[in-house]
Amino acid sequence: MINSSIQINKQIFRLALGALMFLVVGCGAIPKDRQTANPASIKEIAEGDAVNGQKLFMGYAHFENEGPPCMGCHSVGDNGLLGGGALGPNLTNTAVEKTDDDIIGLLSNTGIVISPVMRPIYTDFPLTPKEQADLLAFMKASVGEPEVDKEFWIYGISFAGVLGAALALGFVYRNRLRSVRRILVREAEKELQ
Amino acid sequence: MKVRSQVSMVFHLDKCIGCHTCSIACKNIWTDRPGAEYMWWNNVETKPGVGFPTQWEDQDKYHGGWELEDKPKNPQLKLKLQNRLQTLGNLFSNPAMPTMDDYYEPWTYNYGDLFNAPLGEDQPTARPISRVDGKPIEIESGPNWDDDLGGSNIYAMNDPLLQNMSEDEKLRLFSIEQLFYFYMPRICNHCLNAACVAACPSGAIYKRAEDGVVLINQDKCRGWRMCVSACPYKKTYYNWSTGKSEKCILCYPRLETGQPPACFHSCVGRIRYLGALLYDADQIPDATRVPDDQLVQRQREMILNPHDPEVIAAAKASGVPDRVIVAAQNSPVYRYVKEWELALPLHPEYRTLPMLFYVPPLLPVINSTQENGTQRVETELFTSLDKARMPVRYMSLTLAAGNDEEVLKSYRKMIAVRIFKRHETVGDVTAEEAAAALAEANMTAEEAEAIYRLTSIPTYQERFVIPPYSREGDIEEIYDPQQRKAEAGFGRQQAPQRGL
Amino acid sequence: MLDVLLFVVFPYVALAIGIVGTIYRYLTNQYSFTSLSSQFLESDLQFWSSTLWHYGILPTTVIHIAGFTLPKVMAALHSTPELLYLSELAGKVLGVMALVGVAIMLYRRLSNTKIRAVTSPVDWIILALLFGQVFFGLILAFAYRWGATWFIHTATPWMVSLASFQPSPQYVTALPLAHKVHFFTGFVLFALMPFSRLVHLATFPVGYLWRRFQLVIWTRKKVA
Ligand code: HEM
Repeated sequence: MINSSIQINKQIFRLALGALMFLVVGCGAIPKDRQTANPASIKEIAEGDAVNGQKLFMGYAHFENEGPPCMGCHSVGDNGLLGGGALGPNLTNTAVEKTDDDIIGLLSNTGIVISPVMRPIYTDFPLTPKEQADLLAFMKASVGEPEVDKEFWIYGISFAGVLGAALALGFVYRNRLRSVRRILVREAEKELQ
Repeated sequence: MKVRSQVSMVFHLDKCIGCHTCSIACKNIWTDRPGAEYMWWNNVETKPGVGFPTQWEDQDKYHGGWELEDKPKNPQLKLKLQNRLQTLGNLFSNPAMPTMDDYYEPWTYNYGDLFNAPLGEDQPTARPISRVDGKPIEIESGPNWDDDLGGSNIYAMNDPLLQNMSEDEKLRLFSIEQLFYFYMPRICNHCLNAACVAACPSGAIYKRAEDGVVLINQDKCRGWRMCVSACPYKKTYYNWSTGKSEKCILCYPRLETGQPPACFHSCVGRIRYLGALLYDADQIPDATRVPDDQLVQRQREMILNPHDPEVIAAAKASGVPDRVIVAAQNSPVYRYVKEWELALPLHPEYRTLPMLFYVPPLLPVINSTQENGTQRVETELFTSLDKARMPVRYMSLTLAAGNDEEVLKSYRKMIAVRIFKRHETVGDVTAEEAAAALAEANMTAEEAEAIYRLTSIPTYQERFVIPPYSREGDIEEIYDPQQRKAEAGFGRQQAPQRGL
Repeated sequence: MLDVLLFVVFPYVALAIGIVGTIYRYLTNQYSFTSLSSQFLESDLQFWSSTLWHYGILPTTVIHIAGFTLPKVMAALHSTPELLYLSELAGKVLGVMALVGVAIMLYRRLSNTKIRAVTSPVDWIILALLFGQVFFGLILAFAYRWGATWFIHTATPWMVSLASFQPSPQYVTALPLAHKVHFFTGFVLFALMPFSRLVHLATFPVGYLWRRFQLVIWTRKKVA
């Protein structure tokens, strides 16, 4: 009895320790003071660099405030081996569908709320005016490019991977124990006939 | 020297008549429950035969027991099943898990049909139905399906121990004149280096320090089933209903109240002996790492002489109670295993240091050499040993890891005892012949007499020398028994029922 | 309002039920902590279902938890498009493995009468929910890619806000329906843990890696 209650105490102690660690981790992760973004000015927009914009869009170059690259959710033209994301709309022609003001307003969180998904993200990790301008320049440059669909490859590679994983499991466990008695009786009866 | 006491067992196979009373005694007490119907903590196998579960001795299939690392210098012992990391990877689907099919599907009969069938032309029958899903089944197998060599061209012929024999030798083994078989009752060996204990991912299996009984803590067991695979004797069983593994508990509630386990108590042939052995726990690592042919001898060495003052002092220092030392001095097991070297461990090559020992049966040896059913015992017994190459080989593969000499030594003594007693009681053997036989077996007349007495006419108290437990004291120290009695009584406070 | 209910109140309730319930069950009925393996009754399909499922779902679960607790590390793991494609494809393979595994589990329980005999109603609920959970997870992964990126900027801040008791559901309320179903079922499953065989998750025996092989226990240790 004493034995088991000691065990229970140990268990509770461990759980308490785990909960404490959870709290510490949780508190450490509270977002820092929110930075406010400044929209890019007309002059900055005019100086936008489409090449750098593409790098930022694809994630080859990282945003100064560590925001996620746009291609996590969007595609533009024929971008990347397997394309961009599909959570948000395809942005190939967005520069003609929306005004510069709307786009800059969206990227700087100063305009009307176009995407409620993006708003909290880029409030935490605001884009600098230069970055906004470069991205806008990239989107303008991409207008009219063909929209390439790479979904087939994504599905294809994934399912091939599953097949490969299954084959690998079957290979690793090829010597697993299977029915002993049935096989023995079947073989012996075959021999006796 | 770290002295520990182990409640050990000897089964005298020459006396086993294969009546299965032990199995039934055990079943009625312990395994007559949902999920446990198929379990036989005690079972009796006909050998040669495939055993229960089918071909359990074939460790290439079942991966039970330990093996020595394959390197010349300082090889270490490892589980044949898997290493520690592999264990975690194999939790999801145990690659060495026997299925119910390799034991048998338990069934009952639809007896109700006999009474409730509507009036009709035909006699109503009670169909066999599975005790798992209640559906009618075709009975394909059962416990002791190959009892008394039943279906021997299928079963006995596929005994894993006969694998290395030529077809010719096998046929000779099963020819009418030379046919031999014997019964082998098996329970958990309560090993010193148990593979089930080592393989349990949850650490739920343990050895009781006081008496060496190996138990599964049902609260800690998580049903990963590694013990089932790791035990080379297949003596842990998975309860498919409760999701926990179970095994022979050596009737410890009976032992603690001074009674032998049910299978021992009920044994009709009185083949079973039970008593304490003192052993040196420090020697366990070394004893498990010697070459196959030295295993039996090495295991005997670690069993200590309870009459030796040095051992007694060391035992006291290690916390073995005085009365347990006295019990060890009177232990019939000590005499069979260590003093006389008659009893041998089952498959020592699994390196688990099993603590259940078997006296090899003499009958197959005699049987295989007799002609027309006659034989003159006194003159031909020793020569029959030479002629009975096959049975001796079979016994040494079973009980001595292939070391024929261990089995022959035991046989010579048993034959010498026979000749010696024949001289005494029947008189058609001369004193010289008897003396020569004793010399051949390297034993004294006193020893022969003692072997005869303990083998043929032992009393209940001589067969079962149960060390005193004084569990009351242990329990009292921890929890007031009066208080406990008032609350819920002793033992489990919760029925072993399947959870969600 | 519904959003607050689903993504603030319910998560806390589910976490409380899951954690308190599991501890309570452990303290009062440790005997019932087992995975209730049915491999003994049927081993062939069990191998494929269980290995595919667990080898798929365990890394996936670990990746989810890492996403919540170590977003910086996870972000570094896909810092270029190529790395992103690689981790995404790996994740998708794991997910499909799990889906195939749980599908076989369902089929096995439906088709084998012996397995059906050891199946409780909760088993059906759990398997159906797990199937749904993985199915919707895969919809997110395939139709709303690339989750590796948006995960740590939607789900992670939401979970962190919950963990720090400053709930900000706005990170997830604008996401498509499939996301919401996936999030909701996840917490349902967590809440169901103490009432099902999922408690076996809490018993993963890591200690085996270092415990000594032989265990000898004294009823009362008399000598040191
Ligand atoms: C922590 C590591 C885990 C281990 C060691 C583990 C182990 C096991 C084992 C041994 C079984 C029994 C399989 C059988 O023989 O029938 C099982 C079944 C199951 N596990 Fe896990 N598991 C783990 C994690 C998980 C996770 C993360 C989930 C899902 C959230 C899960 C869901 C299931 C389900 C649903 C079953 C029942 C399978 C059936 O219906 O046959 N497990 N698990």
